[in-house]
Amino acid sequence: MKKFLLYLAVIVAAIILICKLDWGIMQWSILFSILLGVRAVKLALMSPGDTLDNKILNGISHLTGYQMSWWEERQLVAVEDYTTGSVKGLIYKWGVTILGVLSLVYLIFHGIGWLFSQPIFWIVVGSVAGVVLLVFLCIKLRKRAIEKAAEEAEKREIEFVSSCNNLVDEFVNAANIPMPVGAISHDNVDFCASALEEIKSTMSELQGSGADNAVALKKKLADKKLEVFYKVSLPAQSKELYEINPIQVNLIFKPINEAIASSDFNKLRLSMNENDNAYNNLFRTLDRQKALLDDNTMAPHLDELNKYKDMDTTTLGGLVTSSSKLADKARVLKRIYEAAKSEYEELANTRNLVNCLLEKQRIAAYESLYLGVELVNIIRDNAGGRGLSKADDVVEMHLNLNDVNLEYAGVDSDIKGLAFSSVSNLFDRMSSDDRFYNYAVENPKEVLGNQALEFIGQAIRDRNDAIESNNNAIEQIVNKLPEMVDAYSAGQAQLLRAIEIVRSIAKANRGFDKIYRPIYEKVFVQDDLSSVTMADVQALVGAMKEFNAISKTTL
Amino acid sequence: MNDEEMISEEVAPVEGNNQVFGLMHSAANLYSQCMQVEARTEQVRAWSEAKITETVAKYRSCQDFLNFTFGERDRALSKHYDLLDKAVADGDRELIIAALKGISGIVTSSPLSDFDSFVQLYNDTNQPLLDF
Repeated sequence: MKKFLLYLAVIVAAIILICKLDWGIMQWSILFSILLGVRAVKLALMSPGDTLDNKILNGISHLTGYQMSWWEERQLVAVEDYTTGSVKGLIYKWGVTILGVLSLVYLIFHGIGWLFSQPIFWIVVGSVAGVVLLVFLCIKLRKRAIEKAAEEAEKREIEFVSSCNNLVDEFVNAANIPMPVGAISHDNVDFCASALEEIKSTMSELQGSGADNAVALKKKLADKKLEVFYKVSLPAQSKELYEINPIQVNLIFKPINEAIASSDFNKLRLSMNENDNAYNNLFRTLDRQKALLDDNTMAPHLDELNKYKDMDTTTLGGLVTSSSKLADKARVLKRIYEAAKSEYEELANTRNLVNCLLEKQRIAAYESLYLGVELVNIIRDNAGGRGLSKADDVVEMHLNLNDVNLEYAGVDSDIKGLAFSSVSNLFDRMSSDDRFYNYAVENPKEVLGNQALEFIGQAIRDRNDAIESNNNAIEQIVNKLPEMVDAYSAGQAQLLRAIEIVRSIAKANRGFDKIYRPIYEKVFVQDDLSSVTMADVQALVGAMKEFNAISKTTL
Repeated sequence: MNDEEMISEEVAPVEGNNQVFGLMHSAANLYSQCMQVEARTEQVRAWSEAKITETVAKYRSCQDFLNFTFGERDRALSKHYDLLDKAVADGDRELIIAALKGISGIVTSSPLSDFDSFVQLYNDTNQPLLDF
């Protein structure tokens, strides 16, 4: 009651105000047009609410990826806004809209001249146009500035890459540090530049120094080069392993980073070899993987194929093909193919593991060989080692896992229930077609006889279709089978070869370390270069030569 | 008998004959379709059996080749690994280098190119060597 009286009071006050204001049509038209404009702005800024329609549309959008345009959303908001809400709200909204539209029409036809004669109109329009133009110009200028900045950045990046490649060349040629192209990047360029300067100055100092200083300078030079090798060259060679197994790479570099942080270069030289546990684990893993490959798990599935060939698909004493027996045979073939496919997928998993082990051993060999070269350089005052590199090939699967998938349309086709639709068609026709009904009543034998023949005919056609579907399915599977089996054999061969290489590198690394370690002790720990004999150097070089050949072996 | 009854009496046998001919035609089509299906089924059966036999035989040959090749290499490499382990345990540098030489002599040659050649020869139906 209170609310009703309140609304009544507001309406009466509004009527009195309207009468008192003594406005003409023009003023009222402008007022209602402004209200319409406010309503339009409010609708433009509103978001669609959480109504049932909106939930359905969101669901559809989520499933199909369809995104409503801004205009479609506004329509949704407008409809929603006009259909939800209280009665008074609706009266206000519809009232404002109708009066606003009528006012706008009146203004357009009668008020345009008056409006154009008002200076304030031109001030407002001019300001708005000015602002819009300014915003447009700013956007265009900003876009141009961004494009120019991107071009500049690209140019500078090309120059940067070129200067990095020059740095790499200098490390390889001037400092004799093996380094792959692309090893230097934004992360380490400052370190590389300063390290190269330091190496060059130490080298020129070494050239001008006496015998007393020479050993100390050689060690300083060797340490600096070692730091560059471990901070730049070795991480660059480990990128592929990082992509396969980042945890493994972090484990490898943990003792290296600790030694670099403490500037303990002797410790760094000993970080290369795995402890006995890790070494034994490696061989156990390799033995396990080799045993899996030797187990020949594909063979039982291919043996089953022989039994599959003997499955009889005929009936009536071998005269006619039985569609159900053929369907069974196709199902058996499908099962065998899927089992063989899972063996192929298992091989792909083995490949990932073996590739990881192969990369890891190659990195270890690269590291060991560098240390060997470093030692020989120090002893013999050589400058070799720039040509050191790492083999990069890994086990590939010849067939993508997607290529071994098949679509099994038709394997389960059988005629059960298909022919009975022709009988139900008869009754449907009789109930819907009066002329046919009358004919059937007068000629029951003929209709039923024809129907019986049609039933048999349909059953035979359905049986033929089922057989054809199964034949197609069998054809598809048998076509794909040789490709997959060949790819399995090829993958198996590659894996056996990879395991052979991993074992050889790991064993050779141990052998090399046995020769390297005593000489390292003499040079770096006891600091006694003179105790190193020619036999030591010959043994070291001989071991390095064989180890290098083994580590560079490709699949 | 009026005209309509006379006409229907003459027309009925003709309509009956047309129906019989239609049925015979459908039956003949069905029979022909069945024969085609049987022929196709037999064709698919014979072809798939031959293909499967070929696939299984090729797989077995590849397995024999791999077992023989890698088996031989494994035996030779194992001897060198044992020699290397002994040399490392004894600290014998000459023996270490000799073992490394033996390993590199085997490992640096890849058997995969032989395997690829074997598969190529197997697939070449003109190859007389495989004509048993």
